[in-house]
Formats: sequence, C-alpha cells, structure tokens
Amino acid sequence: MAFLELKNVSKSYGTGAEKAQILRDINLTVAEGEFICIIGFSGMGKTTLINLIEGLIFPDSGEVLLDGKKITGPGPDRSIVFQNYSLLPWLNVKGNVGMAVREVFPKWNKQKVDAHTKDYIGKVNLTPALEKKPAELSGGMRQRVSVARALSLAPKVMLLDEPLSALDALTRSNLQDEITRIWLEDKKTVVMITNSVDEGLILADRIIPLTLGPGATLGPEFKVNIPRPRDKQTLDQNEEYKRLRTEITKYMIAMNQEMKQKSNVDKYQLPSLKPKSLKPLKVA
Amino acid sequence: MKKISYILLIAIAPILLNCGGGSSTTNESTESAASASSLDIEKPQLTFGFIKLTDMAPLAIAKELGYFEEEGLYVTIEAQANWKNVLDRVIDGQLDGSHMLAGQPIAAQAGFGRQASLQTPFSMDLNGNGITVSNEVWSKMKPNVPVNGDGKTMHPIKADAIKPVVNEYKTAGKPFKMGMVFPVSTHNYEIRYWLAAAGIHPGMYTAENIQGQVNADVLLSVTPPPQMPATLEAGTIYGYCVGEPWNQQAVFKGIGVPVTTNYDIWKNNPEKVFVMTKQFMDENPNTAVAITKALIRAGKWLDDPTNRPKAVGILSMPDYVGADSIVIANSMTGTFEFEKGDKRSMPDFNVFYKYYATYPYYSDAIWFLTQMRRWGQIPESKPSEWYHETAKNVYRPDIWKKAAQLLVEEGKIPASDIPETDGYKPATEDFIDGISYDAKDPIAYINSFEIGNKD
Amino acid sequence: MKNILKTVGLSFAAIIAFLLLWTAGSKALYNKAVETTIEKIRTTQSEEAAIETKKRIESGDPSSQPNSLPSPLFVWETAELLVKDAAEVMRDKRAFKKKMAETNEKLEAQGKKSIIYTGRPSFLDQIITSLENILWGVVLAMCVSIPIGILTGLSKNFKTATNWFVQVFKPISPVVWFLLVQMIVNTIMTDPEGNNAFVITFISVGLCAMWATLVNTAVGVSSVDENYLNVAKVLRLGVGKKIVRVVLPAAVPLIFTGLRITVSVSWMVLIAVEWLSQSPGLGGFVREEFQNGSSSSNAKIMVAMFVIGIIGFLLDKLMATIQGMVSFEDRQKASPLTIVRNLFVKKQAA
Repeated sequence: MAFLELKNVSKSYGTGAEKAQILRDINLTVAEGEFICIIGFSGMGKTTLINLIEGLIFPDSGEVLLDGKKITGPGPDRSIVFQNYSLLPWLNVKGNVGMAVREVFPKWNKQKVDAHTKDYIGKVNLTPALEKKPAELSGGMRQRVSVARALSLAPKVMLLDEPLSALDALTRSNLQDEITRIWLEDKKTVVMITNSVDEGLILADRIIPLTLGPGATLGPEFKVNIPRPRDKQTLDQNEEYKRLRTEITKYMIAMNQEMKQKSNVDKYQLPSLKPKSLKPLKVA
Repeated sequence: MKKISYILLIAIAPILLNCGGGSSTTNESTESAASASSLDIEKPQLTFGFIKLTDMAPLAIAKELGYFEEEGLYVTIEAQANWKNVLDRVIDGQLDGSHMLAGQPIAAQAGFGRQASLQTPFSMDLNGNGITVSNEVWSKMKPNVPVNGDGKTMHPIKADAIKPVVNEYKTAGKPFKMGMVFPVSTHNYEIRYWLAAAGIHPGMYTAENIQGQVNADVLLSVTPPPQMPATLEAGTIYGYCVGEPWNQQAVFKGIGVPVTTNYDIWKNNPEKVFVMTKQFMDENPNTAVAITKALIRAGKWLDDPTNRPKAVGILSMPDYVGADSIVIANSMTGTFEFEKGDKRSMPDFNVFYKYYATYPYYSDAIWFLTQMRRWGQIPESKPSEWYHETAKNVYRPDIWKKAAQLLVEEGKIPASDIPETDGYKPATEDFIDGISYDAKDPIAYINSFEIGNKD
Repeated sequence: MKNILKTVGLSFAAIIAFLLLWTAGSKALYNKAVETTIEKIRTTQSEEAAIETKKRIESGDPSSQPNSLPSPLFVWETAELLVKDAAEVMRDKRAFKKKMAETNEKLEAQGKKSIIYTGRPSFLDQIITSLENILWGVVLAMCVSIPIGILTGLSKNFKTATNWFVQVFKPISPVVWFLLVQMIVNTIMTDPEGNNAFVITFISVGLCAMWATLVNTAVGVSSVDENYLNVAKVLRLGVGKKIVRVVLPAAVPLIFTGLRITVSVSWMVLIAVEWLSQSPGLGGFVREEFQNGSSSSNAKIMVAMFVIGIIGFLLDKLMATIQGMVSFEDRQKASPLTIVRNLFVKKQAA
C-alpha cells in the first residue's frame, strides 16, 4: 500500500501572462521505508516538489496523501532538511535541535528533551560541537545539525532537499555514508532531491528523474537493485551500477540536448550579414 | 558579554564613587554654620534663578559670603536663559525665587502676559542700565552732540542727537531697529522714555500688535541680554538698552558706544527685584524673611566701595556673570566708559543699598504701571485706586521691614537704614525731560506725556 | 601588530598636522579680528581711539581680545584649568557634606529632606549629567521604537496606517521636538520638585533619535531570512512563538545597527536640547560659556567640543562592539583586546 502518494499534482506560480507552470501531472507512490531520489537540473521545480510534500505550499490541482490522508500543512510527521541548512544562527547546535524537539514533544520535561537532543546530535557525530554556533561550524557540520534536527522529530517521512549540493566532494561523500548509516538504523521513508546521479545510486532504492520545465513532470523511474552497504571503493566495478549510471546519464543528457535545441531555435535568429573586409589596414 | 560588563563596571566605578562623594580625607574645620537666626525656616533647601547681569550681585554675595547659610538657608543659584524662562520657572515652582525685572511681577499681576501672583519683598538695585548704539550710528550721531570746553561730549546725551539718524534711515526706507531685553523690562520703558522725550515714537502696544511697534519710528525688539553685543555686531539691531556688563562689553570689543545710562534718564530708578510667588511667601513666611535678611546684608556689603573689587571677582566666576573681571569692574567700581577712553566717574551707577535702595516702594511699582498704560500694554484706562491696589498686591514692604528690624536687633544694620515712609517716595523731577512724577496721582502723570496713551 | 603601529602612527601624524593648521589658522583669524576692530574704530570714531584700542589689545589685556578662534595651546591650558576646577568642586562637595552631616542627621530624624550640595557643578559633573541624559534618552528610544518597529515590520496594515506618521515626524529637528515635548511635559508635570528640564531633555532626545531604530527594527522584522521562517513553519510555531523564537532574534543585528545610529544621533542632538531646556550637562555648559563671553569662554567651548567629540566616538565604538557581538556573521568573542583593537582599527563590514 502506498505510504506517500502524489496524484496528478500540478503547480504554477504567478497569474495571467506572468503565469509559469512549474510542475504538471506529477504521480508518485512511495512505500513505507523506501528511499527515493528525485534527480533533476537546477531550477526545474525540485524544491517545489519537496515543499508540496512538506505542506509549505499546496498544489493547484491533484493531491498529496500521506498514509491515505491529505496533507494540509507542515507537520511533525514529515521533517525536512533544507539545502542551505536553515539553522537559526543565534542558537548553538544544542539549541537548534533542542528547540525543535521541545516544539514537537511539548509534554516532555527538560531532562527528556535534553537527553533526546543530545542523542540525535550524537547520531551525526557532533557531540563535541554541542555548544557551538552555526557560524563556527563548517558547511558539512551545519548540514549534519540540520539532519539531526530532522531526525530528532521522529518523523514518518524525511524530506531531503539537496542536502549535500553545497558541500565539497569529500564532505559530501562522508555525509552520504552517514546518511546511509542512519537510514539503515530505522529505515525511515526518505524522499531526497539531488542533482547527482552517483549520489542517487549510492543512497536510493529508486531514482526518478524530473523532466525539464516549464511544466516539469516525473520521467521513467530507475530501480536500484544494488545490495547495501554499497561500498564506494568497489561500486564502480558493479555491473548493475555501471548500467544504471550510463542509462540515467544518457537519459539526462538527451533531455538536456532536446531542451537546448528548442531554446536555440527560439532564441537566436542570426542575421545573414557578412563583414565587408577583414583585410588589415595598411600602416602609413 | 560578561567580560564587557566587567570592563564597563571597572571603567565606571571610580566615576560613581566620586559622585557619591566618598569618604573625605580633607580635614577642613567643621565650622558650624548653625543659624544664629531665631526664625524657624520652613524650607531650607532653595533654588534661585538669575540672568547674567551684574545686578544679580546681591544673590551671589549672599551665597558666597555665607549670609544665606547663616540664616539657615542652603541656596543653589542657577543662571537662566532669558526673562521669559525666569518668569515661567518661578510661576511653575521650579525656582523658589529669582532675580527679575521689576516690571515682571507687576505685569503678571496687572494681566499683561502670563498672569500669576508674584510678589517682591526686596528691590535689588537702582540704575545700572545703559543705551548703546553701533559705531556707525554713533559716528552719525556725534556731530549733533554738544561738546564742552575740553572737547568732551556733554552729558546727558538726549535722543535729539539720534533723531536725524533715525529720520535718515526712515527716508532711506530702512527701519531703525533697536534691542531691549523684555517687553515689561525697565529697559523697554527707559529706551521708550528716552526716545519719546525727543519726540521719536517708539511704537504702541495694541491687542493686535503685541510687538509694540504701532506707529513706531524706532522698531524695538527683544534680545536676551548676553546676546546683545553679538546681535549688534551682526547688524541685526543698531542699538540696545541693557544692563551691565553688556554695555561695557561693547566698548571693550569695539563694536559699539554707550550713549547714556538710565541714571541720566531717571536718576536712581529702581531696576531689578527679587521675586517669589505669593503662594511661596504665604506658605514659607519665615523663609521669605530670612531670604530678605540675607539679601539686605548682601546689599549693604556691596555698597561699601572697598568691597567692590572683591564683588567683581565673585561676579566674574563662570557660574555667575562670567564675563571678564575688567569688564564687570568698569561699571561696578564707580566708573563708566562711554566712547573708548571717555571714562567717567559714576559713583551711583550701581546702587545696591544707598538711598534705601532695597526697600520695595509702592511708588516704584506704580511708575511701571503708568508706563505700561502709556504704551498700551494695559489696553484700557484704569482708575487711580487700581494702580495703588495692584502695587500693594506685588510689593511687600512688610516683609522687608520685618527682616530689617531683625537685622537691627542683631546689630547687623543701624536703625537709621530703615526708612520712615508710607511706601511712596516724594514727587520727583529727576527725569531726562524734567516731567514731574507723583505716584499718588498716576492718572495725571500718564496724561502729562506728549506721546502715549492718555486717560 | 604592524597594522596597529601603522594606524597609530598615521593618526598621530594627522593630529600633528591638524594642530599646526589650527595654530596657524587661529593666529591668522586673531590678526584679522584685531585689524578689523581697530579699523572700525578708526573710521567710526577717531585715530586716537584706534591707537588706544591697539595699545590695549597689545598689552595683552584679556578682556579686549577679540573673540576669535582660540589657539590649541590656550585650549589645552583651559582644559587643565577645568580639570583642576573639577577637583576643587569635588573637594568642596566633600567639605559641604561633612559640614552638613550633623544638620542632615537632625533633619532626617525629623523626617525632613536632608540638604544637598548647593555649589556649582564641575565640568566632570556636566559630563556625567549628559551621559545620564543620553542613557535615559536611548532607553526611551528603545522602549518606544522597538515595539512599534516590530508591529510595523509584522503587519502590513499597521505599516500602511503609520507610514505617513513616521515619514512626517522623522525629519523634524531637535529644536521643534524640544518645544513640543516642553509643551506637554510642563502641562503634565506641575510638581515643582519634579526635574522637568531633565525629563524634557531625555524625552526630546529619545524622540529625535528613535527613528533609526524604528526603521531598522521594522526592516529587520519584515525581512527575516526565508529559511528561518521555514523553520518556524516546519515546526508549526504559533504567531507568538514565531515572533519570539525566530523573528526577533533574527532581527537583532539590524535592531542593534539602528540602536548604534540612535546613540550617535542622541549624542549629537543632546547638546542642542540641553542648551534649550536649561538642563545642566555639556550643552548647558556650552550655553553658559557662550553667554559669559569672557576671554576664556571660546576656549572652554572648544574644550567641550573635543570632549563631546571624544565621548561620541567612544559611544559609537561601544555600540559597534555590541553590534559585533550580536551579529551572526562575525563571531569573534569580544575580549578586552578586541575592544581596544576596535578603537583603532575600523572594523571591516562582514
């Protein structure tokens, strides 16, 4: 049975001539405990998709269902990790996570909140940075705080909006491992947005490309049947990995070229002019 | 954050400690200023106001020589910005009393300007004002002034000398502007008297024109005393009537020439008074007497010529008059400099005690009332009794007498310093135009002027 | 370290140049003033009077010196005199307290108010009074402008309703504020014991200076980073919690930027307002010396000018330090060293 379901979801911004369709006819079904990666080019509505699921915005048509119930707004059953961390800079690590915990579990006493908070900060290996403010942390550490905050809320669904895109390759790789490790612990349902095919192959059960906009929709899905743990050292020798990587990459490139051609025809109509003379002037 | 507050604390601590006074290590003798006074003082801590003029001297002297403290009064003396401010702050009770223009309590009683019941038990001084004109006006005026044998100008200089200059400005279409310090100030009435005596119309006050410039040949406007020289130098006014040291200041800075003093306009005319509200005097009768006692003693001390240099030193302190001592000395020590180098002896230029100067005469109050009527500040005609009554509501010789009597008993002043009087000075003709003034008949006096209202 | 040396060295050189220029300027102005005075007397009075005046001025007689720009040396001497005078007043105060101890005990026993010092305030007292005035002014500005700023930033309707008000009142000069406040305060506060001058001063200063904080708070509150608001949304914070937990903390840096401007503006208008309101303080000191017009008055005014400038500078640095501490981007711990360093090194914008 579908745990998270998007049915014919369309979303536009603006009105009249300004109206821009971002997403159209999105249909997606995610089972409980599944790790889904949505892959796409930037500016194509990936974040809009995540925000629809989170309930920060609502579809123009179609519906988003969680556990069979329509989503009417943000809730603690879904927690989100933003691309730019969205940490409150005036709170330290403990404060950022703790504030969320207090909000979601209002009945807990201070000790319980504290223990829970520290527990989740420990999960992302940030215990030594408990008292640090976001500005004192590196990008990777900040994102780990953000992940800890999302996890600590004990959500049914985790929504990861390009959480690793702003990081350098090494940090990114480390965090991928960490996400895998945490996910394996309690197998939460995860919808993650990414711009990297490799990342999807390392993390996801399924990879679904988002086509180019305007009016982007979901492309054909790719099931990733690679057993976990997926060791990065040996992964590029894995046939399944190689096949999927080529296939998805091909699909993405083809889509990109189609787009380029379209836009080139639309945009540039060169005039048929020839320069009169290209001979250099004689120096007197 | 914590560190910052520490630093602040450390930085501020000595300042705070010093403010509190701390424990003193000075071993000054704790001389008991315990009052020999038999009076039960209702309000020992007092604040008095003054305007930076030498005739505030009795206040400064009473404080500096400890006369106030000997009466059990602890007085703070504060300079004020202008006469309106003085009046407001006394009426509102922020000042317990103040050095004031004689006209101010009278006008407040008569209903010109802000109304209030103000009273005075003490007249601070006689004379002390001068009229100064700019160098340019003086150079045009001087040929009209008669000269005596040794080439010096003959005094008193009447306004006849300035008349052609005023006319010249008038025909050139330039209004002739002069400054005085306040609409009900002695200076206003003096400069008006001086001008009108020569047939120059200084302008009437009407309900519509509260500047007092109706039909004026000379436009008079208000300028605070300390700013007179600067305003003259800026060319905004061509002359002014003001108290000292602001006439002598003009001589010293070379920006103007004093042409006459109010001693010449009206010999021994009353000048400033010490004013408290009626309410204060009623609620604190003993305090009022004690204040008057201290001020009478200060006046007596001031009129001893040997004390004048010391008085000059005190007045030149920045929190009193604050002008250079030499400037103050010029008028305080019996001389007055007119044109540069033309220093004349004027022993009675500043009288603080002689001629019963401190006694608040009803006749003085009535003179101010007649002038207010003459120039239209009192718009309608009043019966003679009104003048007497108003004067008696403002001037409080009873307090003065009580204070003086106590001083006589204490041996501080001789009994002969208390005048035998009903409060009216005898009729006098000591005016620049020789018109006789008899306070008993104010209506006749008002009618004796050529220019001005008549009843 | 090298940088600090360079900064100090350059500042020092600039100060020397300034002093030299000032000395030369004051000399030139003095000569011109003397010449003008003598020439004026020569043309309007007589040759003899002119010679007399010249002699008098040359004799160094202080009272006939023209009121031109005083030289640095004279200003320095005057400053020393003021310091000495402050010490004297302090001694005087102590002596008075000692002298009155007995009397005051008696008065207190009778349940009456004890007698307080009646002497004149020293220059130091004036500085402290001014600092008190500005402190209260800034506190008032904060109390008024921050809540209004928050409302303006949060509610479009409130902003629309009050925008004209802010736009109209913002440019009003301190003098007019003073008159307005005076009208109101003097009507309300009729208690003669009340310190109206002080109340009028700090309210005028507060009203004059609060606009920067108001506008900055409004901007800070209305332009909170979308990401922070998302956190509030995701956690489903109610309006009240959202404001307290997210909006206000996020606006703090801008609020403090506004406060820093408010403090400098307050200090700037304080002097003028004190002058007008008859309040003691540095403004009162300048007014009094302006009125005195004695030979040392201009120098005293110059001393006050420098003191005002230096205190203004220190206040601004203090606020800059606080501002740095509350800013999220620049997370240097404020240590004594940073404060000292901040005095010399202009902080780079984050």
